[in-house]
Amino acid sequence: MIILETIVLGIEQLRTHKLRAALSILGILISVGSVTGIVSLGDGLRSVVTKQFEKSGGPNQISVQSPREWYRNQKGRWVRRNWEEYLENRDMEFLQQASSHIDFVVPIIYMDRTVKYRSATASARIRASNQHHYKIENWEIASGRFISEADVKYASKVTVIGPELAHDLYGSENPVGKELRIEGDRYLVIGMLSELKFFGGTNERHMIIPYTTAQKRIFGNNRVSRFYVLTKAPEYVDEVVSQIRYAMKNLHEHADEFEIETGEGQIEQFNRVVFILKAVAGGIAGISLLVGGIGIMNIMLVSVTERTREIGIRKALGAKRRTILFQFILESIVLCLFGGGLGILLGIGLGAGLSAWIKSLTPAPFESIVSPGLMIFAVIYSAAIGLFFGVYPAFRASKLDPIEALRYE
Amino acid sequence: MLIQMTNIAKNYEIGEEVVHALRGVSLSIEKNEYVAIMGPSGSGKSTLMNILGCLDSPSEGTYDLNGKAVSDMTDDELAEVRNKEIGFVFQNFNLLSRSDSLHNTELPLIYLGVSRKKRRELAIASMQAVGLGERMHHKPSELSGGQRQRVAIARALVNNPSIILADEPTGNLDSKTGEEIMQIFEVLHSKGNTVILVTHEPYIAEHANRVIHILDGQVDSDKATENAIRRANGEKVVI
Ligand SMILES: Nc1ncnc2c1ncn2[C@@H]1O[C@H](COP(=O)(O)OP(=O)(O)OP(=O)(O)O)[C@@H](O)[C@H]1O
Ligand SMILES: [Mg+2]
Repeated sequence: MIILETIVLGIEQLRTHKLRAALSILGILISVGSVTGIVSLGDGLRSVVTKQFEKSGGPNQISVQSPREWYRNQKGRWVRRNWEEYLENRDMEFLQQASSHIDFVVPIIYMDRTVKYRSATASARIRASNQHHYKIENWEIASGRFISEADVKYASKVTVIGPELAHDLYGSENPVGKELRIEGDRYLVIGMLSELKFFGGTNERHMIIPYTTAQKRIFGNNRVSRFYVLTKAPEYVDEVVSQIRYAMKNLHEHADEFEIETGEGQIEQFNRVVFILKAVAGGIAGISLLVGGIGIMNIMLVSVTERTREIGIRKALGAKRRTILFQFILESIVLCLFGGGLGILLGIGLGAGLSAWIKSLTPAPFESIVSPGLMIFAVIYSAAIGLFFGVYPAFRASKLDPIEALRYE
Repeated sequence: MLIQMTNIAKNYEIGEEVVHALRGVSLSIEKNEYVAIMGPSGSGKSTLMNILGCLDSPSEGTYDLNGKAVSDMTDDELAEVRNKEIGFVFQNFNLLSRSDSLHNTELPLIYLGVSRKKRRELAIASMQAVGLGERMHHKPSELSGGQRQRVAIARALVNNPSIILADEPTGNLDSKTGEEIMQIFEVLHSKGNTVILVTHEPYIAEHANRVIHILDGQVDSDKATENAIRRANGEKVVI
């Protein structure tokens, strides 16, 4: 009953002082807006990364890396190990035989080389790997084909190249069927990747050759830099990790120095980063909301002073303390909800604008996400600010002596 | 006894100076009395009314309303008394300047918890009773002094209080309208309500049964009006 009256009264109050209300909610509006914007970006980022991650078999994925040759000693200095151990082909072969949960293994040897075609040269980021590699990277073939099992088996001198590399070497001509040279060796281009950019990562200068080819013709050994083990289902990851550990112990002296990471672990790390981002945004927003809240309190105090006579009249006619208290708190909450509501709209706009901007920088499939939870949180939070900062002015109003308030000029 | 005041004093301190607005007023008023308070300007009439209306508290003395000491009541109890028992017509009206006359009139009902629809009905009835049926949606600034006074009266009557306190309710009205308002008070009195009003006009005071003269913050005289005496003698009095 009185509640409804009070809400109507609060809204009327805002209507009569439009400019003042607008100015006083500015702080709330901006802080709720920026938080909504940032968090919606963070959520969008997480969603798109998670999607990519799942598409590339991320949850099934285990990465095993050769020990780093350099490490930091106790004094913090970088020193080279006095032993050398690497992942080798036999590790993969052993694993594939030892475990029935493994779908496939992708070995990778990383190297950067200058490649040539006629008079054109270009620097290529070579990934020597096998026929499964494209699956874990979400790559697609623009023309030709990817390297095959046979290419790997026979260590063929074939290669699949990224679009920019293709452009540098062949201009607008189709690279498939053409040749290029790595350190004088001739390779046949069998395919070209379609462009894929993803937050700084790009495949444009990539060049994929069979890992066996790299081992035989470039390095003359059986080593690989890292391999990815893809399990048949995510629930096998833990078991396969222990199988890998066991295999490493059997095959290597410094088994513990081989880094084993799961895809889940990586995504968790990423999620933690996003969470920190959101927390920082939240913290900033919290502080700015505080400032906004003080603005609200200020305006409410002014309002109470200005309406002293009104309060006197209401009290003279029977308004109790709590009625007045409630009236002013509610007014403050209504004010903040207005700010918060507009802030959410601003935030949605901000998120959409920023994601459009990010999209224009990189062709990543990116979109900000405003979850209902976020909106509810923003609404509740602004109401809470209204409540918190409205209490003191409302308390002052409720304590006014009726006759003195009536005499107030 | 409805109202029992004993040795009521009210002092205002303005810097060094102390203004004695009331200096030891004692009076008792019974239920269904019709009292006029008269006295020169600045004699303390409004101060007395404010204390009677539970708006202000005395510096000294005791005030019992319905057998209960007002000084013992909490703020909320006082608010409830003001809301339910007392209809107060202020000398300077005290209307909400941003609200229309209808809303001003229904204000006490809001705090009484009356439903919106019922409130409208009662407020409209009350406004019609004071002859303001046509000015429902005018704000105080859009009304004449007399009309404002009538809104103030309509508001005081709307919750059907048992005690009407009116501080110069006809001060801004021509004698014809003043008489109309006095008829309303007459009816309220005949229904058993207690009416206390402040006036400067002897012919208004003649409506009452008792006139209290205030001088310099003290009761100067307190006697029945001629009409009351005539009524007591069984004469029919028409004013
Ligand atoms: N808040 C106040 N502070 C100081 N003095 C006051 C205050 N209120 C009233 N007074 C003084 O108390 C005295 C009585 O005032 P009051 O308003 O009761 O007079 P009144 O009889 O109602 O006069 P009028 O007929 O002009 O309305 C006056 O001298 C006035 O100056
Ligand atoms: Mg007066």
